[in-house]
Amino acid sequence: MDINLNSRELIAEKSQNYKLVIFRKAVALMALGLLVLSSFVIDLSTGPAMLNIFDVITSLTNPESLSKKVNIIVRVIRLPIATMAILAGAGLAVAGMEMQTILNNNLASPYTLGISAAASFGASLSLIFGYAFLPKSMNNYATPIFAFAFSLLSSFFIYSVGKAKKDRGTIILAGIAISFMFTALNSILTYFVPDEILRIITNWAQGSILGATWEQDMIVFVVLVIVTPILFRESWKLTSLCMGENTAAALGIDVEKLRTKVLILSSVITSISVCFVGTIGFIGLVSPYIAKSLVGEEQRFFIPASMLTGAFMLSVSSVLSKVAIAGVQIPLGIITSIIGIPFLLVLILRQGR
Amino acid sequence: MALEIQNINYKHSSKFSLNNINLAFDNNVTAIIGPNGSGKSTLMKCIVNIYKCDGDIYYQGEKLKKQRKEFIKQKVGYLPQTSQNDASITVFEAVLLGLMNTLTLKVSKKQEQKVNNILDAFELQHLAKNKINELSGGQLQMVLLAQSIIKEPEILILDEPLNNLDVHRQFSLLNTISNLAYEKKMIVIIVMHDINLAARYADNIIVMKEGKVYSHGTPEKVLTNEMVREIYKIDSEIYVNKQGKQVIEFVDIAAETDKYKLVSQI
Repeated sequence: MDINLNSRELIAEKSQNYKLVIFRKAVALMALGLLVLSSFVIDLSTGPAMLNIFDVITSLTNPESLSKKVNIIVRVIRLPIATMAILAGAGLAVAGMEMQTILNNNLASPYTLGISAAASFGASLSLIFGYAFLPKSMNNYATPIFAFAFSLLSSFFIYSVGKAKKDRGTIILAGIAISFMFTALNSILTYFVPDEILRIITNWAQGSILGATWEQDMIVFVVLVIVTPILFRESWKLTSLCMGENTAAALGIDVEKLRTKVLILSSVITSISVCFVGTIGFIGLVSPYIAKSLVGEEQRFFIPASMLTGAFMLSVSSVLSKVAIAGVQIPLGIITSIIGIPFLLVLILRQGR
Repeated sequence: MALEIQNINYKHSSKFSLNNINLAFDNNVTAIIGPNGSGKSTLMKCIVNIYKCDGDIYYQGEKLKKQRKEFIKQKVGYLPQTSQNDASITVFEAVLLGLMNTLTLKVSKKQEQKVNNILDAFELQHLAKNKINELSGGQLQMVLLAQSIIKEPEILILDEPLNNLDVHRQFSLLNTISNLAYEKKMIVIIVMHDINLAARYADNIIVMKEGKVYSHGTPEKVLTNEMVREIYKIDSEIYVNKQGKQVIEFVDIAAETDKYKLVSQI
């Protein structure tokens, strides 16, 4: 009788094993969701005119009861920008996270691999030639397309380097080389452009979401809504990559095909995010690191956790950019770099072990 | 014979190549031995389609052509020689990955049960919630073995599974595998370096040298002083122990090779 009881308890305990792990991860995701929501509201309340958080919430839920001025500040001026912080943060984070997964390198991200710099160069190119040759209405579309083309180009370069040289350091070094190259090319371009475009390019290079519009928000949102489910569908395959490519291949996965597919998807997300917000570094590097320590590398949770962490980080950066120095709005890219660099150093030191 | 490979040729570099390999495997345990770089792992990778090689593979008399990939997915379990130990997933999830073919976004009760059963069988249940990067080398090896076995493959290919294992675990792993082979009538192919363990556990032994099959057959037939001298450049004495198994005692580096070559190189 005793034995039976014991074994029944044992079975119950075992089935708890997996459920408990899942439960913990779900709680982590919910906590992240709450953090994103709160920083979003705080982001809406901060700026040259500081608003009461309750006014912000009222303006979002019941605008009629507030003055027109508050509604304009919250709903017209700040809402598209705060939304872009969430969307671009999530996009950069998931792109960085998948690049880390397929290249098997914790230091990979759109920024460290030079993909942001390449997109930035593509955008500058389109701004220059676009202004010269294209009708104004086309400019909005030319920039993302140019940014995408160049980010894809650099992604494939990185990918082929990774294929030829298997060690982890080489990929990052190649990324640094690409980053320098495109930054230099960008600098050359800026010598030949009128001041008006120079200002846009500089804004770009420093990363800014202030110009975000609903139309841009919509584009980033649509891309995320299309790409994320595809990544989810591959989540088990991507998870197996964390045990090494031999193990993944042993499980019957066509590793090369998976890598190419996911690399293209990550490049799409990167370029779409980067082309509207400019070069914002470290979100794609730091968010996966934090997400991994919260939920591990099982991608069904790793994907949303990275996205939420990225959204939270960029949203908080947006708040900091407005409140760090009174009366001055610091470019967002500078804030994320200040937060991200210590993380990068930690990652480099850990990788060396 | 259940699994046959014919005219397997593979060229990667001079060190990792295979030259016209013809072999047959039955529903029992086959050990593949040979010096480093003799092509053991390369051959395994060719069989599981990680390396694309020339040649034919037959399973139960049927030639596998286009369906080879699907066949590997469904029926072959493979434990690679190296895998990463810094993964941030739990042991439970790692073993679950072995069911890759059937995994969807929602893990079913049945899949969960399967993982728990195999964790029990391998005495890994207490580690279920631990992460891969917290395991010792031996524990990781057992997890990977569980991962390759969970889908109940008909063919199990293990590339140096005894690495990182202490003597007790080496015996326990080989006991588990040979029991599985007989109970489930599995074809088990194990690449290993320990000739004595090969003699003890394998029904057949294949000796490889420089990308070719040097000899194959029962341990009694294959394990000879000449083979050991030829393949490993070691003089040995071979006798039969109380259990009727051959035991190879290594005496010294064979006389005709320069004993002090290594030393003088240093």
